[in-house]
Amino acid sequence: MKKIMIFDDDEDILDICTFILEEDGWEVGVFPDCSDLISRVATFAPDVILMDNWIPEEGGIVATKMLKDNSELCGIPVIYFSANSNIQLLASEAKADHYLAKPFDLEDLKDIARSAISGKDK
Amino acid sequence: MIKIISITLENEMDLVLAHKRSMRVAERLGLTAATQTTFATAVSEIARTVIEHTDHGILDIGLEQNKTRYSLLANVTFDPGIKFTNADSGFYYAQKLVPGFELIESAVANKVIMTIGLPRSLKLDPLKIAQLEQAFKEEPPLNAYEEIKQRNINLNRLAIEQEEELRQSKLIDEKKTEFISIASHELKTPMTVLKAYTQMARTTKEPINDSLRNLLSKIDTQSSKLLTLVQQLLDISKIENGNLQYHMKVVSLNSFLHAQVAIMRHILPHHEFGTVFCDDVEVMIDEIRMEQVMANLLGNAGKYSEKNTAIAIGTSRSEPGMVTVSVKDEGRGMNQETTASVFEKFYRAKDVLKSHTGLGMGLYISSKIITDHQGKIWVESMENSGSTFYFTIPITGRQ
Repeated sequence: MKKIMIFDDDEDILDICTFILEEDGWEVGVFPDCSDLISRVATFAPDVILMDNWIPEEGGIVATKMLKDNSELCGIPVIYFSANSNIQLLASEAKADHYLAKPFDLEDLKDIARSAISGKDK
Repeated sequence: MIKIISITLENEMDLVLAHKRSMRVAERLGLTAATQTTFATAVSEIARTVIEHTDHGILDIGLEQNKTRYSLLANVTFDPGIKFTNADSGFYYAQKLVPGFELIESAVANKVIMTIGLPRSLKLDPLKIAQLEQAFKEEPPLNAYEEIKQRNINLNRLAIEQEEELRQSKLIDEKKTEFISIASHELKTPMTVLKAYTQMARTTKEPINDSLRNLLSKIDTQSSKLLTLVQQLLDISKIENGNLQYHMKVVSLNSFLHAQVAIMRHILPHHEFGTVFCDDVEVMIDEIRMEQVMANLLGNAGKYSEKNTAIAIGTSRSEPGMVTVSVKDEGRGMNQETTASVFEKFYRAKDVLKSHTGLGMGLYISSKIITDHQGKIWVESMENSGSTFYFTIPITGRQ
């Protein structure tokens, strides 16, 4: 089973994503902040990461950069997740592989998670 | 001390000023000619000594009340590192001239204070002192040097004030931007959740009856509307802040427009969409923002026309280097007044205020987006004969 890690501080978003992605056959891990980010990601060993722009404490940009600067974890595709209308700029600044604007369509959520592991481009 | 005049001590010319100004204060106070000279000489001796060491000294002349008597004071302030001794002839000489002489050294600044007690017969009171202060404020410059110096001081003060103003307005701008970003997050997150839950309820595998399905569909439509309004309000705040950012990309115009029309066919199923495109061109656009423009123009075309009428989307090349996109409807049209104002922020035509909902934000935002793409937007319309909206954008790459 493919594994996805979701970082978002909103409980409802975590619930929704879990519900939708589990239904779509994913093993889902949810995290309301990004403390101990590197060790948690290394332990969970996800196939994809969904990262919110406003994740406590450092925010999604710093967190994503940390992952992308880590030689062992940089290969895991990161989907950047935000309600900010400049999401494209934020995602490219964070060096994320894909982005998903909030509010999102549930189908888009499934699609982007699937396409992230198939190595397809955004 | 009630300060009457202040002179920065930078060079020899300031010695002349220090001397003349000290004389003038003593004279205005009604001191004898001998005392005037004594005071002025002491002041200029100290000023000379300070200038020999630094160009950062400051001379303040003023009055101080000591119980019922007033004293005339000259304070000369200079850098703390500078030490005067009796070997400095001016310093030595000045001490002999004035009755009160004090050297105060501290870590922040060193200071020489010279005092002459004023006779009661001068009958100084707060009113007279205020007049004296005023007189010196209005006194014309002694020479061209002082005039330039005063102007310089004024300019410096202005520059500092303006810098402060600029700093303040930058701060306010930053706060605004931060607020918009927080508001955007705080408003859109619950919308995201609301929409997602509605969508989940609509697509659940458990059986739901038609009336519930209908209600869910209404919740979905309304939350989409609310979201558009929130997005527009945030866009307007961003435009006001000069903060609308673009992510430009080269796209083929015809396929971009076809995609937009396909989306709108679903949203406006009762209208007939027709397209007449010229040869395809490449344009450099922010797709998301340009989608917003097309959704706005096509949405308006549908909103202000009857069901089963046509909406025509066209492209043409009339101006070199530019392509024109048009959206034509068969709707109610607009009078001249409305045509002239329709791109203004929050403008709503009187005749549609009650019949059609809206806040008057869409076309304002669209016009801003088109302008930011180096294009123009305009409308041709007549009442009861439909409207045609046009915009141009530059062609990029091969033409």
